[in-house]
Formats: sequence, C-alpha cells, structure tokens
Amino acid sequence: MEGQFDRLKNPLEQAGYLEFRGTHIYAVLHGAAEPVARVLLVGPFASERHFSYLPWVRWARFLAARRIEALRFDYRGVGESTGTFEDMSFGDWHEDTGFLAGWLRSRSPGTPLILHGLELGALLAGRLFANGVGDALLSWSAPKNANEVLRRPLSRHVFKSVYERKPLSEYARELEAGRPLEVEGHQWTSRLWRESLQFEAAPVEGDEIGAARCAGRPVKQVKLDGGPAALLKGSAMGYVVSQNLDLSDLFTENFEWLVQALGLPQGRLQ
Amino acid sequence: MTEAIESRQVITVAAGGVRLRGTYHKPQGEASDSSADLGERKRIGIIFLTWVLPRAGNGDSAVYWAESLAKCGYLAFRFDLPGLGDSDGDLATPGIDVETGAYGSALSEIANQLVERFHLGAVIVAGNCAGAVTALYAAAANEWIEGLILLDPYFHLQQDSPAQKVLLHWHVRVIKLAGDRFAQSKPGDIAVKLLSRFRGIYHRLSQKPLLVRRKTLPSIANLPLIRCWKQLAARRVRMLVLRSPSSTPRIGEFDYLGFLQPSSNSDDRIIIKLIERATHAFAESHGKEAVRTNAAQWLSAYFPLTRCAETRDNRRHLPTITEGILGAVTNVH
Repeated sequence: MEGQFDRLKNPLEQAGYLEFRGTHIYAVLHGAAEPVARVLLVGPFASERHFSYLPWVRWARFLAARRIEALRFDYRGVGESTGTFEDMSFGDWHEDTGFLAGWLRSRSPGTPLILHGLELGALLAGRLFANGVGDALLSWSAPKNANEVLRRPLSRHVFKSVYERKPLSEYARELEAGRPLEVEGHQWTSRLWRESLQFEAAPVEGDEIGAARCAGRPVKQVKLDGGPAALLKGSAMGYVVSQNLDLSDLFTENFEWLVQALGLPQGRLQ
Repeated sequence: MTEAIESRQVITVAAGGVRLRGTYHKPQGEASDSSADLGERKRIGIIFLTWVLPRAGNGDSAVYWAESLAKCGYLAFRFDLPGLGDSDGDLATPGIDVETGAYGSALSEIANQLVERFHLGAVIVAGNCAGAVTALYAAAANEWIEGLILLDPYFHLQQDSPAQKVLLHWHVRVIKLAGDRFAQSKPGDIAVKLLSRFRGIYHRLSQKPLLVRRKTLPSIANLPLIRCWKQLAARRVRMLVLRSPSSTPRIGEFDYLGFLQPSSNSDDRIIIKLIERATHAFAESHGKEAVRTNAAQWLSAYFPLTRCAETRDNRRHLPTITEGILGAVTNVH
C-alpha cells in the first residue's frame, strides 16, 4: 500500500523558490542519495491542481524512495509561485518547464533526466521532449491541445453557474470575442483561450497509447481513464474525490517501465 | 533553491513528530525572520487552513487573503495539515475524521510553535468548512488562539445515506452531460436552461427562514463541536462567521448558527454575516474580496496593529467599521 511509503520522512525533501524572469517558482525537490535518475514532474492546469496534488506528492516520494530524484513545481502565477495568473500564457508555462528541466539536469548532467507530465503537464513535457530535452517521457492523460485542458474546468463552470443559463459554447464564444471569464477563482483572459486553440501536443512516433519512441528515446503514454487513477482528475463536479486513493498499481507499473526503459539499477533506497 | 524571498518564506514546524510545511507571509516592511522588529506592539499571527486542499486554497484564495493581511502588518501563515499537501504524515483513515477534532491538536501545536518562534501575542485562525471545524477544536484547547474567522462552518455529523449516493451519482452524470459534447448541441442548450429553471425554483422555495428549525438540536448534531463553541463563547473568544448562501439552512433543516448565536453573543463577540453571491469555497473574486474586506475590518476593529497605514486609518473610523460589521448580523437567515 502506498500509505506505507508516506511514513518515510525524507530528510532530503526540500521546498523553496527558484527565481525565473523576475518571479519565483515554488518547487519541492524530493531528493535521493546517489540518485540513478532524475524526474521533472510537470503538473496539471491551475484549476485541476488540487485534485491530484496529494497523489502527485506521493508519487514524488515513491520515486525518491527508489533513488529517482523528483522535482515538482507550481507554474508562475499559480499556487505557491509568485506572479499573476492572468498575465501568464501556455508559452510562459512551457518556459517554466524548460527552465526547471535545465535546473534539474544541471544537478548531475550524467544522470538520465525523465520528463513526466500530467494533463497540461503532459502537453508541456511532450513539447519539451520533442525539442530534444530529456532521456525519457512519461505522459499521464495527455491532451491533444491546451483547449482540451480548459474545457474541463469550463464545463464545471457551466454547471456551477447554471443560473446564468448559458451553455459551454456561449462562454467559449464570449472568450473568443475578447471577454475575460472567471473560472473557479482564476481569471481567464481571451488571450489564454485563443492561445489554447493553437497550443498543440507534439507528435509522438509509434502507438498513440502505450510505449513509443521519440528520436530513439523511450516514451510511455497512459490514459488514466479507468480505476482509481481516473480519480486523479477529481470529480466532474469539481470536488476532490478521495484523499486516500490507492495508486500503488499505477505507481509500480510506471516505475517499472522507467527502470526498464532507461536500464536503471533496481533497488530501494534505505 | 531558496526558502525565503522578499515577501514570503517556506517554513516547517513539527507537530506530533511529523514535519508540517507552510508558507509565512511577512508583514509589509518587516525584515526576514522571527527575531526582527519586535517593537512594542503586539504581534498577531493569522493561520489560514484550507483543510484537504493544498494550502494555497481553492483558486489560490488563501494566498490572496494571506498576502493582503500581511500588507496590513499581520503575520500570515498557511499550513498543510499532517498527511495533506506538502506536509509529511499519513492520513490514518480513508474518511477524514475532522468532525471529532482529529486535527485540532496539530493545529494547536502549530499555533504554539508560531507563538514561540515569531514572538506572537495572539493567534487568529481562519478556516473554511472542515477547516473552520478544526479551528474551533484547536481554539478550545489553546488560549493563544484569541480569534476565529470561520467560513461556512458546519455543526452536523456527515452521514452517507444510499439516497444521497444516488443523488450524487446523478448530479455527476448531469454535469458530464453539461460538458463538452452535449452542451454544444441544441438539446444541450435547452437542457441547461431547463435545469437552471428547476434549480432556481427549488432555491426560492427552500429558502424560507420561518420554516427553518431552531429550537431542538437534531440527532446528527455534532455535540462535542457545539460544546467547543459554547466554551469559546464563555471564554469570550471573538469570532467572525462568514456564510455563503449555499450554507444557509433550507426548509426542514436546522439552523445551528441561529441556535448558537443568541445564547452566546451578549456583547457582540460573535459576528455572523451572509456574503451574498459567494460560493462555498469563497474562491471567486466576489467571495474572495468579501472575505478579505470583512476580515481586515474585523481584525482592525478587534485586533488592531499600530503600524500599518491601512489599520491606522481603520482605527480612526472604528465606530463606522464596527457598525458596518455588526449591522451585518441582521443578514443572517
């Protein structure tokens, strides 16, 4: 059970800020002594952040306990990072990802670097990987484009604002027409919406789902559509479904893939 | 990687042997750490609890509130409780046992450590929903906690009934239908409009204050929590309760705050205010701003600082502000 791993207090777990373009990115490094690999965890969009936060932390701890050092972070303008959400764009968050991948790589250039994204994070990590950054790519629930990412919180907004009697298509039209919209506490600009329509996932060679390769480097895409893993996305109503999801199967399977794909030495850090 | 930047700092405390992570928002103009600028004023710390959500809160609302109050000179803190957010620890049970005060002791320990480390003269705790419940338990056990800002607290025990599960299941299905594919079609438009009509009628019919029960506590009442409330009222702990329309009792429901307030509010130490149009999360800009304004005014009136320009200004106008807040009691349904 993954709960057992939570009890390990990792003295190498460190939270802090990294300065980037005049703002501060909040990041948590789940360190490992003598790591065999490093992984950058690229998280979901702002509105989805709290659904998967705890499983994301547990996954980082799971990996660190197995000698894969993990770095997770908040995008600029989101969560613990500084900056203003409405000033940001998908391009900015892509830059954040690149900056942190570089920072993580610089800790030990000889150690394999894995990019691992969830939802929006999968899109950003995939684009970065296609640009030649990283030695392996693991994608969970990757969207085809950033607009797909925005539609989920927007559909929740439709329901919560049911008194406004507007369907999703009308909100979309308003955003396209240049009117900003507040969705779940974040101010969406028309610029963000329009950018989302153009911000596409990078193509990956091989099967759409499952193991593939990109320029000879291993890629794994996981859909998260069934079982407890599907709950990582939260409920359709916008509630955190469970704090205690048992994702041990998902974690174990993906860890084993990383070990096999990169030829890593197995063994848990004691 | 640095733990401290100009306006904030990542901090850790140990509670029950578990490392808890939080963010400290430095009061405006104060240097970096706890030992600086003690001065002669009473230093007041405010702890924000977002409960199961990461400490930034829904829509990063807690960040907004903490930053705003730090600008007024208060020391603002946001913490992840054990097993949640970035904190260590384990969630002991699949369901979180908040209603029995399971996390009250952790919060109380956080308050004690902040008092010592930051030389605080008093602590205020602000919590939403289950965070408010935890705040009540902690305050009952900790005399440093002199004030509470409670957003949509609840006083009943949660009970999962099969009927509720069925309702929830259909609720989810309706939202899924309202999502991408269906909502973009003509039938989807009509369904959304019909649904909104039905919900509007239900809400109008169900919000009849005269039909709300106020006299005898129901069997699902959380009696230990109600005892905490009474104990705090007797100790004259100040409380600001902000309610969203979604938490106001409906026909046949019991009005806990209506029941608790008259018996314990002889000197207006407990202020209850309805925030119209706010959601339960208070995360949208209207709710966020209402919490900020009411909290700042209430703090300024009852826990004033001497240094902050905004606070000084508020104190000059203290009667107006107090009247404004007290007048709001009449908004309670």
